[in-house]
Amino acid sequence: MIYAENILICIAIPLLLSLLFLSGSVRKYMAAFLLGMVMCLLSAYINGFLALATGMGERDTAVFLSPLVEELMKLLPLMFFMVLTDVREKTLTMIAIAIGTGFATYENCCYILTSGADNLFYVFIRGFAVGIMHIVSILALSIWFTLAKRLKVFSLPAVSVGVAISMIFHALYNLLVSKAGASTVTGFILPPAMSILLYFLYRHFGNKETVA
Amino acid sequence: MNFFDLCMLIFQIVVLLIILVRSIMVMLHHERPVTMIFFVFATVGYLLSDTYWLAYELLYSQVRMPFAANEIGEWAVFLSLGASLSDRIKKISAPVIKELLGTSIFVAANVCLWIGWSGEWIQDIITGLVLIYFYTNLVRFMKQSEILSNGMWIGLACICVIIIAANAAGFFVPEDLVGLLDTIAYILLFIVMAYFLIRTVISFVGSGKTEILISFSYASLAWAVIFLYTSSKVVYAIVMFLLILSFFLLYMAHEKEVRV
Repeated sequence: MIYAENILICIAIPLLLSLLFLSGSVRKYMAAFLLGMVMCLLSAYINGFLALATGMGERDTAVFLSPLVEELMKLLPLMFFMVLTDVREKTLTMIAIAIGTGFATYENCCYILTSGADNLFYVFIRGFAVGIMHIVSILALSIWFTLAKRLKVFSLPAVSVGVAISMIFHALYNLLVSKAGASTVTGFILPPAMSILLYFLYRHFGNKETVA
Repeated sequence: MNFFDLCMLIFQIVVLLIILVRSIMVMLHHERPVTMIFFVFATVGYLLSDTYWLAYELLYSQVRMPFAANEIGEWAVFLSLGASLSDRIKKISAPVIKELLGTSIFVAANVCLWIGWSGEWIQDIITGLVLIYFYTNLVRFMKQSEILSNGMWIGLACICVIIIAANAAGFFVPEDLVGLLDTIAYILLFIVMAYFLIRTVISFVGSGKTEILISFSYASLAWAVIFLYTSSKVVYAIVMFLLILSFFLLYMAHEKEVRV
């Protein structure tokens, strides 16, 4: 057992203090990063509750339910910034990256404290895959929201489509890495491969105003 | 999952990959309407859902899924297709109460049957809500494109009632009658499925309005979804094929629309 709140407090205090001395976009980035960490902790609370309430157990909850909870929790601050503040497209992308990074960083901290950090190779691969997974899923969402706004189709179904796809992608990753062997390797390859594909698609479609 | 279902699942994944690559190629070289973007989202959702299911079968084949996360991908498919249809009908100012009520009753009845069969309350209710959105938009679009006469709408409604009644009766009648009731439901489901598929192909080959082709192809897919959720055993595998066939026809319809 780890004391997740204590870990968050320990990591968050220096970052919170730094907010006093920062300004502009760096300050926004840092605030969103902290928010991402808080969302990760709240996700852990909800997952813990669901594990008890559904009787699925910790392992099954982590594999099958946590992708839903985590993607939803990451979405909340993004939606907050998008709906309640009039942020520019670039700022929204930056906020999305910060939320994803904060989320992944805190999750990795807790993972290392739970499972140990003695195997550098595994820790590196895990950090890399989880980092990309959380950043790319929320970044892809923010890009979709921006595009949907531009195309005037930003609505509840459009938001839900994006979230549902990020959830199932995350769930597939969790499923693959849940069993040792070839599936774990496939799982770890999945996020970087997807991010490369998304990068090329975004470069081609995202920068052009050619949507009818 | 039996061997035949597994083969069909792999076949679906291969077809979906081809559709996805071709859709992206079409978008690279032609104008990109919003409807095509939503169709690509639907394809991605469907592909991820099937891949998840396949991965689960390969990793934990003997254990029932504690939570069918692949259904989230299916929700993405229905929401995408519903949003795509919504974009086509947004200029209509007619009230939607009638369509909403009709589809809500039909889907709610189906949800009750699914819960009775699977016992998965939350997932089935969410699937039902998402399907109501998709089907309401579909009915509105079908009315806009006038692909069915009033008499055909009444006939379709009667068939829906008989199918639901036959399936619901299966919970109460003796076991030797269940097979007969299932057969009645399957025959009716097959007749409507065949009608929508044939009309889709005729519309594709003919030189009529693209809206009619799109309307029939969406109707085929929507019917295949209900058919799949109502079937079991061998019929399930056959309907999996019909579903992917409908999806492929939908892709062809979208491609034709973009090229035109």
